[in-house]
Amino acid sequence: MDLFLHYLLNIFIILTPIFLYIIFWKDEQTYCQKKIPQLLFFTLCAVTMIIVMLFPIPLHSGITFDLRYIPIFIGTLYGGVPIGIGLIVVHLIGRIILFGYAYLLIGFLISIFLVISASWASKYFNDWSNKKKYGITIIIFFLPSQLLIVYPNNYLSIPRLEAFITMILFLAFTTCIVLIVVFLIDRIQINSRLKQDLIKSEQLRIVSELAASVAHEVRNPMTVARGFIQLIHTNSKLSANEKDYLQLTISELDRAQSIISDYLSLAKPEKKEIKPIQVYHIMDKVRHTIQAYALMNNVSVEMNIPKLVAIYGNEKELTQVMLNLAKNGIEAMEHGGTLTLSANKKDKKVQLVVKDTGIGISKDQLAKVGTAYYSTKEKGTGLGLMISFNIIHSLGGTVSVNSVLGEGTEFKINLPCIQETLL
Amino acid sequence: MGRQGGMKYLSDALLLETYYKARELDLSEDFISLIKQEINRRSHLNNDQITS
Repeated sequence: MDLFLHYLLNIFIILTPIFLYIIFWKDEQTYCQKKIPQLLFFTLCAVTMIIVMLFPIPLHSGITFDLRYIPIFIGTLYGGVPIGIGLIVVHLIGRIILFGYAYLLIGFLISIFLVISASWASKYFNDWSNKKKYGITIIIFFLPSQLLIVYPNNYLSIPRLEAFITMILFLAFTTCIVLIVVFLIDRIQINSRLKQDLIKSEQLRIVSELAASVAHEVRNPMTVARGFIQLIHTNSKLSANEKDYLQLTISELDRAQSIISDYLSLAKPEKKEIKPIQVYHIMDKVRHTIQAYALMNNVSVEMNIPKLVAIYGNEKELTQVMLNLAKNGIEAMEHGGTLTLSANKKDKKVQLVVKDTGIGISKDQLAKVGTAYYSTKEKGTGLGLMISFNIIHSLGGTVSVNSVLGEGTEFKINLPCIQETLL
Repeated sequence: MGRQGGMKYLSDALLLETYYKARELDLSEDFISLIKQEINRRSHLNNDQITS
């Protein structure tokens, strides 16, 4: 019973600093003021160690032990070698004062071993998985028992085997608590990281709400501008060039609108209206919209779309996706080329294909296509493809990309098809 | 012009003509509704002027 109580007392002493930390530490200043915590940390470990040494746990035949090696190990692991060395010094002095010179050498050797292994472990500790962390900690703590095998006989006051068993017991007790301490400290670190992530995501949310309202407001003036330009465009007294200019202006306005839509779709999830849509209808709309843009870049647009093929989806979103792909295709053909919009029906799936004869995508770039904020354009948002892929996936479809550098790229979109009826 | 719509600078006659043309040419619904908003705004102004 005595043994158990003393053990509990030691555990309590070791865990108290951790609980104090959790209660009192405000983890906002993690990166500044690094000096003060070091000193504080050292004092904490040293005090814990001394108090623990004052309450030794009695094993059998007058042998006692305590959990003093835990502060030494933890202190070096999280605080660095200087703390470890300081703790060894405090340990030796305390031991001499309290117990005299008994077993001094072995205590010293164990402490040195722990400091060395802790400082080695501290370099990789954050990279290891939890299992590895605990495993290595256990190994580190059980290795000193091997020392006894080589320890000269005349220094031991009890038979070697008994000493060995005693040491194993003592190390086992110690290791349990060390694992708990490592676990607790890990938890604390995770929590403080979560707090920081939460603050960052709150900031992002505020920014995105602002962006949404800005986008909404800008739409009105653009609608008005577009409307009036269309009115002028219908005036038959314009020269062919002027009509082209106006057509271009309109499509640039549309482009600006679609950029805004990109941001809007990110900021707020819109209600999705899913209904049957004719593939031909969408592709035709896309062709109309990018016609001027394509002409401007010397790109000819070809369509190869069967007429009675339909899919389930949201018309706006699907148009957005195809427009995005078409636009990307045109932009990939700096010196002109051909953009082909085609579709075919295989089994119960419809495959929409946007193909260009442009610059192509390398294997490395291909791996990053569709990830957030990835763009090879100077003025790209890096979000267009990510949004497009999201939309396709949410409709139950898949996207695949083929590309040959210097020859062109092909985006294939597979979507589930509706049974053919007269729409 | 500030943040207010530019449409208030159109004359009444031009505004109405724009409305009819937009309908005739089947331009974007958003555009047509913006024109309607401006027309409504002006008709309320006229009412206010008459009553006050």
